[in-house]
Amino acid sequence: MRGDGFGATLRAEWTKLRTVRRWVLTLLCSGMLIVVIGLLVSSSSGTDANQYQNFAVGPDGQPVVDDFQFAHQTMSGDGTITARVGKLEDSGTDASAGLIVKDGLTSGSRYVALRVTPKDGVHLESDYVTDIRGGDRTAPVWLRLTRQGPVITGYASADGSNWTKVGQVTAARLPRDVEVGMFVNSAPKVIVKRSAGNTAVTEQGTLSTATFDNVRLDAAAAGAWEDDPVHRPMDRPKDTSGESGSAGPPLPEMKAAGVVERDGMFTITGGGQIKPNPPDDDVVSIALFGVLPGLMALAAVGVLFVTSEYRKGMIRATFAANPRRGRTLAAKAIVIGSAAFVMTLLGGGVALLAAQPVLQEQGFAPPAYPEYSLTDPPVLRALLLTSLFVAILTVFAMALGTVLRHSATAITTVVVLIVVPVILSSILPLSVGRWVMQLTPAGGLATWRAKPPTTTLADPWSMIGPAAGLTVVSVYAAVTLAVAWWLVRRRDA
Amino acid sequence: MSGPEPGLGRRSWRRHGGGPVGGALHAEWTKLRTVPSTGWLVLGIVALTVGLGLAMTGTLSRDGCESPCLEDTVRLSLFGVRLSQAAVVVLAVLAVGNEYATGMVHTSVMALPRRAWALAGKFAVVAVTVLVAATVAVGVSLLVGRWVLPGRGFTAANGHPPLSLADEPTRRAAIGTVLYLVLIGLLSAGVAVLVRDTAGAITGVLVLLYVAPLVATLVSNARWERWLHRYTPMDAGLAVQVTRHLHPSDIGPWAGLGVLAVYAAVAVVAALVVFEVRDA
Repeated sequence: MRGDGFGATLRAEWTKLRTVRRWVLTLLCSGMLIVVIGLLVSSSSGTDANQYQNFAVGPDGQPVVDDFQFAHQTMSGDGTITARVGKLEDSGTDASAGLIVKDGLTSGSRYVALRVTPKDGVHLESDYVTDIRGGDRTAPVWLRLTRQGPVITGYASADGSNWTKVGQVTAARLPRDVEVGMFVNSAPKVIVKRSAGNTAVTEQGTLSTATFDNVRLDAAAAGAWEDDPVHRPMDRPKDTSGESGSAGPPLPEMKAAGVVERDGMFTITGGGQIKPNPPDDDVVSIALFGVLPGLMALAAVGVLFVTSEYRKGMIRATFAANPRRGRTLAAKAIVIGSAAFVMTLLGGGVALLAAQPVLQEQGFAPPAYPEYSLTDPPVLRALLLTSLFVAILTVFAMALGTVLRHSATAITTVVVLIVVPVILSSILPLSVGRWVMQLTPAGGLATWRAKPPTTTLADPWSMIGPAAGLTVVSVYAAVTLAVAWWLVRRRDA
Repeated sequence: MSGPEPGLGRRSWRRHGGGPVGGALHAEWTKLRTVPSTGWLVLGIVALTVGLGLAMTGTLSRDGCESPCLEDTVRLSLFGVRLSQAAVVVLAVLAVGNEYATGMVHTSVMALPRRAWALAGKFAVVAVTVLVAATVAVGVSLLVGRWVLPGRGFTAANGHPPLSLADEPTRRAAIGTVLYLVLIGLLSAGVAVLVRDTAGAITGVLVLLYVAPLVATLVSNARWERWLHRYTPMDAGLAVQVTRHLHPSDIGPWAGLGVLAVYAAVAVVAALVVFEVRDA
């Protein structure tokens, strides 16, 4: 083998891995564990999000929130609305005021809106998907929305004479007759309380007030302004976990939502938001839950891949054959890491495919939970990053086995470092829990979520993002590998 | 099944004067005591229980707690066993598994041909060792809780008298937690005999203990969730720590510990039977 270089070392380590029957079986078992436990958890999960909708259904069937106070009239065909937003109260959450063209007054219908915010500049948005940011202007500001054929263009101006184009969108599916006007809203305040493992999320409605003057509508027929709230119909008893948006009770000292017109100046008070509103819990992480027991089996193989060589004295032959011990360590890391990656990728892929129909049957169905496919970028990302996380964790286990040279301690340490932080951070206060996830390899579990992080769930893996999770587990692996590398070169085999 | 060789066995009993059981016990105690990891693991059991308990009670705040605040401070003080049980698993598995790994088991079986007795002795020694470590760990944890909690705002004035064993639920939680760790030790030792592989036994027991509660947090089907809480070893066993909010649908404290005892008994009996009939 002398002189054959790294390729030969790699091949030697691969041969060792594949010829120990118990390890190969464990590797295969881990793949099966990922699928079986994933299916088991999927079939025992359930949701009533579609029976008790706390969202409006958007134009493409997706869950959205679409609440605001609306001073409006009907516009037929082309036209332009111009107004100056004089004052916009910062409600502390996300407030906005602006102009909107909308398909009727139903919450969830198509729209194009040009809005100004207290802190986040001017935005041109359409149909809950498109969002064009146009500069840092804030009130007072002039806004203009022009419809010409299928194209709707938004402009902003400081003085009402020099206009800057914010952007334009093609709204071909907006009907000829639309409601046009001014709107104000303010996002509800989300209060998360957590004690002894229970997470209670309440939403408290907030209101914001804005003034509009120099209002001008250039259209075929301009009529009188009407005042209506747009919000999701309240067709069910309020649940205890709180309501969202304009439905929430106004704060005691606050004015009520509505529109007041005096001498051409409109003062509009409203609450709510216009944006996509998918539920926070993530079906992808449910389908991939089997990765948790699976990675324990993989980590055990990772540890044994080294410790059994020490135990059986094989390590002396290995180091005699290849005196460059660092290379052997690197080869082991690559072989076991790749094996773990492939097993998780296969197991996770099968689990995701097999769990989809099961999850739908349990209520995770459209509109609240659109059907996913393996080729959706967030799902594919979750699968790949989860596989990468398990691979890095297995390398960490291998390195820890090298450092400790003791299977039992190394395996237990890895398992405990994954499981105990999860148990802890689901009970500890939110900020402490997030730190626990950010400082232990358990944080890597964040990779199996396809949705962005949130604070509203009890699941600890939803507290941080996948990048933070992968970083922490990589640091553990890198440091342990470095120590292992230093130790194998220094100490007797 | 090897035939009994009374001569050898009897001599070893005579030397220690304790009959068959005494001899086996003495031998097993010597073996456990002389494994270098045992001391560290016993220390670990105490340190992890107390350390994590302190971390829990030390970060506790009354802000997140509704009034009247009914935080289960006993359970939180004893929270550390969720971590330290891993050390118990390792200790128990190593006590058995090391003999298989080193081939010592052949010697043991030859010295004491009444295998079930020898194994029973080993289980007894493991149980007593864990019992002592757990008693210290639980005692210190409660003392730490008693010392830390008033500083976090949990005083007698607002319904949290200092932790005391005179209080019946607290006493139940303390005794139950010690027994919980002993049963975890017996379960692990039994599994180790059945599997005859240290790494496999440890991974298996840890997965059994830790994965079920995590599945339970994710599962939203109430029937499944209740089933998992009632019949998986860790969740059921730790029901004995609950001193407040006893939910009618949850398993009772002693009943929960009983579930874990069934797991442990099955593992121990299976191990004794298998050990008797199988080649070492």
